[in-house]
Amino acid sequence: MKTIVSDPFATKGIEYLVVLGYLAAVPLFWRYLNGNPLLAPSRVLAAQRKVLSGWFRLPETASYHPGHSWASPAGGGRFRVGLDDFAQKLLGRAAEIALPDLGARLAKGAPAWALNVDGHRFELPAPVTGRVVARNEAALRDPGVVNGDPYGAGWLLEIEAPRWNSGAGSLLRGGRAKEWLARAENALRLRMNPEVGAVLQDGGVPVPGIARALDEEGWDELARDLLTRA
Amino acid sequence: MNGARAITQDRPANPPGKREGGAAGLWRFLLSELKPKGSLFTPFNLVSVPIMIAAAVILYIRFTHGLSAVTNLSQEVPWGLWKGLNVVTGVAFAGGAYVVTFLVYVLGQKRYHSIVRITVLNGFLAYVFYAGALLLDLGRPLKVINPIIGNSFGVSSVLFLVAWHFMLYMMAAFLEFSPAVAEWLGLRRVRRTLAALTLGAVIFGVTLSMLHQSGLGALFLMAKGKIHPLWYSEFIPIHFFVSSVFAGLSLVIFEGTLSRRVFRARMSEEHHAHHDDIVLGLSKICAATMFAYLFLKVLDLVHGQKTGLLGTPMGQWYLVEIVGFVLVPMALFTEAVRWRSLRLAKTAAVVTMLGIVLNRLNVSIVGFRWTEQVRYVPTPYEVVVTLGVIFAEIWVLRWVINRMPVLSESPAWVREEAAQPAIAESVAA
Amino acid sequence: MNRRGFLKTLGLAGATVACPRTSGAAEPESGVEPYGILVDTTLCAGCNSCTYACAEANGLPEPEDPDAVTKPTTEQWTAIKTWKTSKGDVSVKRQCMHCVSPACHSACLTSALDKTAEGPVVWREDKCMGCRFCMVSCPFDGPKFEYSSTKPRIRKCVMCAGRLKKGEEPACVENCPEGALTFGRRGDLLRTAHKRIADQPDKYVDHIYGEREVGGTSWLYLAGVPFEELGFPTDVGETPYPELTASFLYSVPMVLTLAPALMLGMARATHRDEDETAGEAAKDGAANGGEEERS
Repeated sequence: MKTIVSDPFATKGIEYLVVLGYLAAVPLFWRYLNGNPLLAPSRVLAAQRKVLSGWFRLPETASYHPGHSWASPAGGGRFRVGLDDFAQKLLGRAAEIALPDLGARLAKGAPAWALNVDGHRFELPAPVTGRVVARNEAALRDPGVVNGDPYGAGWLLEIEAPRWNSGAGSLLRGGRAKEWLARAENALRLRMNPEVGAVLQDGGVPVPGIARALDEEGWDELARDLLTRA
Repeated sequence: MNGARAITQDRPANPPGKREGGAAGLWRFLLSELKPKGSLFTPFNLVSVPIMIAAAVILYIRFTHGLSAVTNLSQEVPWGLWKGLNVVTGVAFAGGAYVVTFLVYVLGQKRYHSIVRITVLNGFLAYVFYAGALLLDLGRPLKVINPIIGNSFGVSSVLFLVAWHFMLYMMAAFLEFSPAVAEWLGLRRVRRTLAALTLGAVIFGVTLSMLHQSGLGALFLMAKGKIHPLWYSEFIPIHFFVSSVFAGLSLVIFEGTLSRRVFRARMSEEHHAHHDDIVLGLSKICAATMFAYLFLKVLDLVHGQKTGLLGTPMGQWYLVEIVGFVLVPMALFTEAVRWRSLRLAKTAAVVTMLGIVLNRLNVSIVGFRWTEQVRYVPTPYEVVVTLGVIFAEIWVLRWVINRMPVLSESPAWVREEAAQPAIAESVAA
Repeated sequence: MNRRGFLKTLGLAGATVACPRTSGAAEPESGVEPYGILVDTTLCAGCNSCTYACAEANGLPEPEDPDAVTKPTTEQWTAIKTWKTSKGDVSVKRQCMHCVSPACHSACLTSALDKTAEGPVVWREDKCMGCRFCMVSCPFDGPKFEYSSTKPRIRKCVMCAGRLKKGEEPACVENCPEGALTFGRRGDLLRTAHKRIADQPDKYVDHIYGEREVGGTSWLYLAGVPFEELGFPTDVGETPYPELTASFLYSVPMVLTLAPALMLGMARATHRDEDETAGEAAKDGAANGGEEERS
């Protein structure tokens, strides 16, 4: 009786080599898989990106939640929070802003305020966890304030948040915030047609908001999509 | 979007739980829900109904005249298309349910939440119909209770294990889906209890799935020598398990595109909003899993010293499967992720699914007894029954989607009970 | 406890109705050597006496033209095929090999196929559900299935288990006019076979088919030509077939133990972040239901 396999480990060496090859290939593959060619430096893309880059303001004084709201410390364990420039330019002027009552508890990432734009309701998340201690009555009366100065006079709420549990530590700041905004700009750029690009380059804000300028029909869906893309 | 609202309200406004207690109310509600919604003469119905009727007739002959009356099964090839396609392949496609519930409930990937119900429902029905198709193939279907009631436990059998896992998994999957049934029937308290059991059901279900997906491969371990060495491997359980991940997810992607077209009106906003990200996220998982799977296949070739066989005709067929239906769709998925292209992702999903069918049939039919002079080729009857089973599953799936909150949002009372911390309710401190 | 005993303990949880074993699983393994049959293909004339005797003893229809049947069927459990070999025509009787560790028995999820202590592998009608996994698993294609029946049975040589119990030889052995078949304890038969090879090394190839193949079979074969020439599967190896699934089956309890624990840990780890940030916002009641919510 002849036996077919004499050495059960005859191929072990090659198997280990294959595994080593695999381990070497994994990081390369992973980088390739996660590398978005749209973000890669290329001349055309760089030129295109100029259209938008720097167009949305991103003050260093605030920290940002990927759901397009900002928070900046206001002293005394309080945060002043609001809507970021991207969101206000995307949506345009709101007819009405709904803010939670004083004393309401907000959870980071959960819907905190709602903008009513042309009959469509957009809920945006709170950047930190805490209790509402002040509301910007001016913005309630005239939502246009938010469009005029989203990081200043256009603030929305003051939230009292215990420092250790506010979730503010993990908000986006500095380089990470810039990266995040670049992604958001990029997503927006992909939906843009040349005419709108030209309008933006001129520095003009389409009054009804960028989203409606892009797509009159399904602008609300488009806006929702762009706002929730983190 | 307004359309979505309108149709959602089209659902019976008063499910029995709310309206009138008692069995009579429930019964009347169920009867009313049996009525078809929408036109009966759609192209899908026109194709599927005749096939299902034909399948029923064939099955009648099969049960009155024996398997040989309608199948080409032989003493050499005892398992044919019904086992190879319905059971072995169908269950692989049901793998999406355990992967998605694992992502959402165990890994906390909330963005996949909106597809949990549809995939779990799909998985559950796949098990009911495809594992149920096993009964059609059994010589003595009534004896199927034997390994379950305990008068004859063949605990050394892989099939014993697979059968038990099928059964337990069906229960777990039903439990995972049951909150939707409770919402449909308007049973509030039952729903809350069921929802609380979800994490447990998910963990149990994922464990069982790992075991029976690989168990389906282990069924072929003792067919050593009968299956072409390129497809036979001592690691076949692992290959089956790993490939069930991308098989299931590809079906989720594919099915998602279909239902976006067919059930557009019933879809929740959440579903619409996240669709692109979900498809691309799943594509990334597929690409990464297929990358690992390819290396597993290479390791198997090396370990079994089978590289020499690649030059033979069967070897070329093997390469068609591996290159054309694993490597190519993996590349497609990768590019889909990089370029955020839904169309590429869908194409990749379809190619992957074909590859899974090919792989499972290669193991169970094409590579099985490959040296035999007279090869097994299924009869048209077997094909019709196989299609009939698939169509029946789609019919039930459609019936459920049109009635229960699967793609659509849960009824208002569920959302009211849920935590709505900010605007909806302002809790005074 | 040897391997067979182990399998038996595993597999025979149920009662044994169709085939009550006199010795039974309770009997200690010591000393009881199972029976076997030695086939000396150099002596077989291909007369098919065994085929007729088999049909009579097992209540099968009388073979009409056994020469035309070269493989066992549902109605003819033993068949003789004549092979053209380097040493002329050789007739070989084939039937179920009655493995020492049968693949069919370990494959059967209802324990319908039973390895008895005496050696025969028998089929029990009240257990079988007709899944045919035994046929997929058997390396020798022993079990045959009645495809044309609405109440199909698995049919195969049972080594005349009933006659063995009465102290009789299997019908084929008793009726072989050439003395090509020898019945006895498997160990004795192996000694006999080795002696024949040693006595006549020119007549026999030095290989007893079934001595080590798939862990050993109850039917043993002697031949004058290599077994490849006689259509025997020579690539089946020496590992008992049930061992091919052993590592998979052993890993099952392991996975059932470890996977839920790991997943609970993962679920806890990934949801902790949420617990902290959501804080009191999610009330206890909602936390339970919240798992399912799409808020």
